[in-house]
Amino acid sequence: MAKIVIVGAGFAGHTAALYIGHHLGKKHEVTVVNKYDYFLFVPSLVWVGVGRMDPKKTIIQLEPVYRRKHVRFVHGSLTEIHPEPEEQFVVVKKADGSGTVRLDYDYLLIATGPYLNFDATPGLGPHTGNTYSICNLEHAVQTRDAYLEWVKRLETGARATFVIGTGHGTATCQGAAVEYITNIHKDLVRRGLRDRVELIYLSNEPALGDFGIRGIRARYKGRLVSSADFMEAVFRDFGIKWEIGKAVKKVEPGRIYWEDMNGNFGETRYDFAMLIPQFKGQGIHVKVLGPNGEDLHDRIFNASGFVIVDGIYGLPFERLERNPDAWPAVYQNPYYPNIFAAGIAFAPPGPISVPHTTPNGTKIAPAPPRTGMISGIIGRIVALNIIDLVKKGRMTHDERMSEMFAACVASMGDSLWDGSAVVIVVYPVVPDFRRYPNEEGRDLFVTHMEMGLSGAWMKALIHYTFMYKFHGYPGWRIIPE
Amino acid sequence: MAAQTSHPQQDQAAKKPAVEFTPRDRFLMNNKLYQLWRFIVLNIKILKAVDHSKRS
Repeated sequence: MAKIVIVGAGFAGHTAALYIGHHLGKKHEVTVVNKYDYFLFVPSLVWVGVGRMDPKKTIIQLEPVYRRKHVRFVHGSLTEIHPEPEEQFVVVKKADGSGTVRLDYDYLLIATGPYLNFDATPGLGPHTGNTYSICNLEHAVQTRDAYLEWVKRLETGARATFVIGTGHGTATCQGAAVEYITNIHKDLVRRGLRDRVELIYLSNEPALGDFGIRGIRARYKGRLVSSADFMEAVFRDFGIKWEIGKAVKKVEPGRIYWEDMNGNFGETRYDFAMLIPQFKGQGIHVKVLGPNGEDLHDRIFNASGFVIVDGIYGLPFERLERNPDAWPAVYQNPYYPNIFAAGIAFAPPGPISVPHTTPNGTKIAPAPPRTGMISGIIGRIVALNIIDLVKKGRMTHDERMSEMFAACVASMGDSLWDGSAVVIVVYPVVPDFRRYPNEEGRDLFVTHMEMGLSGAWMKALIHYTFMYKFHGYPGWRIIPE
Repeated sequence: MAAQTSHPQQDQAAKKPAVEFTPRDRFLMNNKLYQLWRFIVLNIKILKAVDHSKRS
């Protein structure tokens, strides 16, 4: 009987748990460890943050789902890994404060999601009272309350500046920030308050619509247009100002201090701000110990806490962008082949967007997104390989991000009557200039971008079908990640 | 309470836009019949792209 431990129950971990539970749950011991007792559908937090969705609609209690899939659930946080062959166990600190639990494993999947590193930017984050975040449920609810408080003030005649974007030079998830600012725009229009608010999008992207994937180019009205041109048109249409290529250095009440790509320093004033922090891996909080207590942390995690897998690390960007095979294929740790990573937890070999260092040495380089669909796909690949290893003793699945298709539906108003969304279909996620020797390194027949009400319908469809899938209800496997 | 920046921003309004949404575009973006057609096309496009990708 094999023992499989999955740490993390987000898009990657929960997807993997469903597959592994389905295939191995009855005959093998499958355990999921998660610091929350619920799965959170993060993409819908943009609606929670403007008060347009009940937070309860974004969560699924994990235990009942796992009971049906013959998966054991431990509510707690990973604190130690003992990876050497004679040990192979993890230590989990239980959430109820009743101490720790030791879990032995034959295969370990780390899918722990991001550590929100607010400390990388002084003054950033909800704990400071300066800026808000929509990266987890608690933050999204706080942000909603603060936003609705502002709405009350606007109704009494106040005017304000809202700044939405990224709070660090290497932050990612710009798509969520775009969704949030456009949803705020729509909500304020609906309330008749839009003219009282100046909306500013502040981002580390080198161009609008970069999204950490170097932007895209797609056919629109019969000609090739860039996502930068498209997003500029959207922002102009919505009356949203933008400040891009900026690394936020410090936040104080009412003032965001930044450095731009030319090394100029400046500030943006705000009354309400939602800025996404730098992401680190949860590995920074995990001890990796050998049989004699020796520190083996750097065999599993890199300095930022992400899991080292089968990618080629350390390549300069000029070589990395020409080598799609540098991206990991099976997400397996090279030192310990029975340890895998999925979703945000794995260490990417480098950025997808062209990185930039200012004359003052500040890095402005959006990190590659590994959320949502990408996380789900990687979770499935790793799960299928673990199932293969248990059943056949070898892996048969692999998919690099340079071979991966992704669809992104960026909500710009949730209403099914007059809402909107930009639908972006991109293939592959990481440009492959060998297969596609064009300027983009992407398949221009598949890559697509459009905006309209149908996008809002797509977004709603995605929310409900994915919530169905993540409940593990009958037929869940036919819904693609 | 307008936002102020110490670094002057590009005049975003003055720049000649490469993409501009015309009144016809805006009409189509919210025309229910046309959007139903786009919804069907988008779903087929995404399912075809899922099929086209490796999905090993």
